[in-house]
Amino acid sequence: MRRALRVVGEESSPDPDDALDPAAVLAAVAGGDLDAFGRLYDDLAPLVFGVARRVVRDPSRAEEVTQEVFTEMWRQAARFDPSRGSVRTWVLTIAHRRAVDTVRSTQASRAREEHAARREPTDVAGPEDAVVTASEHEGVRRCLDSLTPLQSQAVRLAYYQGFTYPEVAELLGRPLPTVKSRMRDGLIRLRDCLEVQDGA
Amino acid sequence: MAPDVHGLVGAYLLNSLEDEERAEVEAHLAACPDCREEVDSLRSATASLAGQVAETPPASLRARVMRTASETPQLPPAVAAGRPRRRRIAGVIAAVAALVVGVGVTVGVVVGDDDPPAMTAAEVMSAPDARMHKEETSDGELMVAMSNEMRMVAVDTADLDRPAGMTYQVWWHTEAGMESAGVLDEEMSVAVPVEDGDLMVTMEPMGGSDEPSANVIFQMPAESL
Repeated sequence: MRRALRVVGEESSPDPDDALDPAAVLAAVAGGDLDAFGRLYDDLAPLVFGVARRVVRDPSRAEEVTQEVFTEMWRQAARFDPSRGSVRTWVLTIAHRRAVDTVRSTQASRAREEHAARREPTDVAGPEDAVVTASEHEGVRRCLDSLTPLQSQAVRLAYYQGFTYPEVAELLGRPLPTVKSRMRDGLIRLRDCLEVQDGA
Repeated sequence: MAPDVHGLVGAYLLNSLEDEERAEVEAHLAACPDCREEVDSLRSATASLAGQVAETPPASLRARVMRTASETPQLPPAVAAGRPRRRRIAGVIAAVAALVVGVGVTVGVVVGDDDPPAMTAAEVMSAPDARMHKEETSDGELMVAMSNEMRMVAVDTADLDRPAGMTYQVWWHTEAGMESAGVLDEEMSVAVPVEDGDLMVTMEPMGGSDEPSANVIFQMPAESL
């Protein structure tokens, strides 16, 4: 299996050291290559830390979450399935879930609600470094802007603040089924918009 | 299956479900390839939200992450991945684990006469570095063997009596919680990847359980195996 995974990585890039092909780098990580792991860290840490920082807020706890996510990535590298999505999506899926679980387990929902009430839920920080290119960042922002206000708020409150959908429903004063639907069709619209942009 | 599960896909991807609903959705996804396809197709859009909040971590974090990695053993590839599975509890759990790519998930090994595991218990037990543990119980003798080199543990229940309607189930109790590593419904033995936690073997009703019963036959931390 490990060998098979390496082959997949090598097929998609003739040079497994090519930092531009994260799947190949991850295949090297699966073989215990710490240098390759360092390259993946440099590539992805700003995204992972950014998500953790936004959701758990406390910087030192965000660092802990980031460390846990990368340790998990190191442990599970051999189990990454490139047919299911990109390395970046894989890591960010782990990162967001870990951040949300951390905040839920330690923070009373009441306190978070008050926190969110004081905070503009739709504010969005600027991009940093070259992890996300300016055009990519702009593209996602444009697509987010193409959502209806309710879709956008439901998606942002859940993703950036880590609220459960009943909490989101309460904050927005909308029925649960409406909020569930807006989360789903909001993500579908985001996906479709990003696909059109990438194709353009 | 609960028809409502489809409506929860967005909330699921945004991690805004409570634990119970999340588990329901994951169980449904494990059995529904179409739903899985929809979820996979939306994952990248969901992850793209991260790019809006990217932030450079403190430089000191890199050294800590690298040091921790250098001290952390890596998991072997998923043993049961990619082969057709019988739909039984261990299969569902393995599928869920593969699906969530979550933190601390365990991939169960599916056992069954028409679906042999990639690595057998016998192979692990015959590894040059295998360490054997024999546990005398009131139902007979349980054998557990660990190969550090393979990073696998073998559990053999052939010498254990099986009361009617009962089976044995293997678990890992890790920081992430309790995860089934396999149900020995038809096979007498199983090989499972080593996890960072306690290995447990319990007696359960046929088909296995979601949570281990109080009937614990064996329990030992991986590092002592």
